[in-house]
This record gives sequence, C-alpha cells and structure tokens, in this order.
Amino acid sequence: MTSDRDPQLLKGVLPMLTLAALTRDESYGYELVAALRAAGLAELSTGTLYPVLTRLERDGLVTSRLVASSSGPARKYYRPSDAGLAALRTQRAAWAALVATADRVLHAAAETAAAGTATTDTAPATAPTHPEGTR
Amino acid sequence: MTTHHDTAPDAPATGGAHRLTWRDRQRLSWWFLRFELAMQDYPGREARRIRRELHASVLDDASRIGLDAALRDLGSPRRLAAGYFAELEHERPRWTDGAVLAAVVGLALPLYSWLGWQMGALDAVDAMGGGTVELSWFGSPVTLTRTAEEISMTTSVTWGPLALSAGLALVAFALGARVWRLRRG
Repeated sequence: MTSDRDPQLLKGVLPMLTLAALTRDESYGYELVAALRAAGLAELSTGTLYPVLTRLERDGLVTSRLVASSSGPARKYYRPSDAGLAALRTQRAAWAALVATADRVLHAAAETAAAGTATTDTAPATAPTHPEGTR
Repeated sequence: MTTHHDTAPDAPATGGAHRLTWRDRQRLSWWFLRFELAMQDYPGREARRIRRELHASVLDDASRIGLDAALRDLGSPRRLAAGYFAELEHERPRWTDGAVLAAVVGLALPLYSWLGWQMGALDAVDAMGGGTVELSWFGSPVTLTRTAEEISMTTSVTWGPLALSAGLALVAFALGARVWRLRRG
C-alpha cells in the first residue's frame, strides 16, 4: 500500500508531520524516522528526513540541543520552537482545508463515475424499447 | 540555538552493539568524501555544520543498526546532497559544474580539435606527395612538414585561438554554473 504513495506527496507534508511528531516529545533524527515509520510512513528514510530537519532548524521552526552520549558522538535532539508551533497550527488548518477540497472533488468524481456506470448497466434494458426502424 | 548538555535525559541506547571495523571506517571516509564533493557549492559554513552533524548521526545510527544499514538508509551521497540543496531557499549557482564544463569546452575540446586538425593536415600533405606547407588555424600561422625524413609542426600562439578558447570557456562556465541563479540568490 505504502509503495503506491507518490513521493512528492510525502515531500510536501513531511515538514508538517515532522513538526507534529516533535510536539509529543523532543527527539533525534533516527528516533523520529522510526516514529514516523511506525505511524505509517514505512518508506521514510533518514536520507529524506535529515535535510528537512536542517531546513526546519534554519527557518527557526525547531530548536536543538546536543546530548552527550557515553558510548558515541553527541546526539542532537529537536523540539518545535514557538514559531514552529504557530507554523504547525497554520499548516494544519491549510491541510484540513485542502483535504476537504480534495474530498469534495473526489466525491463528485466518484458520483459521476457511478452514474456513468449505472447508465451503462441499464442501457441494454432500454434498447429494446426503441423500434428497429428508428435507427 | 544549539546547546550542550552533559547528560542525556534518556540514557543513550548506543551500547556499541555494532563496532566499526577498520574497513568500515574506510568506507565511511569514502562515503563522506563523495558527500563533500556533491556538497561543494553549498554555502560553506552550513555545509561544514551539516557534515559534522551528519557524521555524528551516522556513527550513532551505525552503532545501533550497523554501518551497512545506516548508509543504505541515507541513500547515495549525491542524492542526499541533492536533498539538502532542494531544501535551500533559492537554487544556487553550481560553480564546480561550471568549472568542469569550462575546462572541457574551453581547454580539452580546442586542444583535441587542434591536434586532430594537425594530424589531418599532415596526412593531406603526405597524400599530395609530402613537403612543407604554411597554413593558418584561427589566425595562428602553422608550418607543417611531412617528408620521408621529417614530420614536424611549428606554430606560434596568437590571440585568435586564445580568445576563442577563452570565449568558449566563459560561455561553458556560465551555462554550467547556471549563473542566472545569482539574480534570485
């Protein structure tokens, strides 16, 4: 199922989903990837997320701190900044509006398709009512 | 924005389950060399910071899932660098691409043409029975001798070929570097 997902769709929503995932608790890159994979983004990789985290930090939407590790290099933990939380609220509203619009359009398309199918299904039943000579 | 803390809030899970071997370290160095090459035109200070943080992340990931899995998850260095470039506010000129293209079009190509032209001219002189001819290549006088005893070429460099090479190199550099991106940068 997830393999059918358009990568451009993921690219468009990944900054928003990253911010949303970070509102639960501060997290570091790999842990964040694991959390988003568990949420359904099975195709997400660190190579996709790390540039997004860099962008979010550069834009001031997340803050970070280094946490020393006893057995390896320091790990960088991220959390949303106030600006990031505000941006997330805006993006969530924009996403809801987009989903509503998409739903309307898709629903209308589905109804049209269903009506077309119904017409095709009933066509043979109505055909005999027309006299042969009218053709 | 980034601060240092002495202790982790949750004890790091990097128990060193996967230790890097000497061969792993060589692979990692090679991977990062390719990454740095691909990031050459990224803004310098930020590129160094990204490299430093990425290196720490890869070591951290590798200690948990192994270097193979960590590098596979990151993808190719070139593709990852493209991901970082894509997240920049504006597309930036690619000076390295421009320099490579300028070297090929402005230097290697004229040199190859010049040598090819000489070889062809010497063959033509030979086909006509040999001897010495004086020709011109983009304004530069060339004396070619092809006899049974001697094969030689004498030339003096003039501004013509140099200007042509410089012009070609300049155009190739501008196109390769996408200099028009400066207007938005």
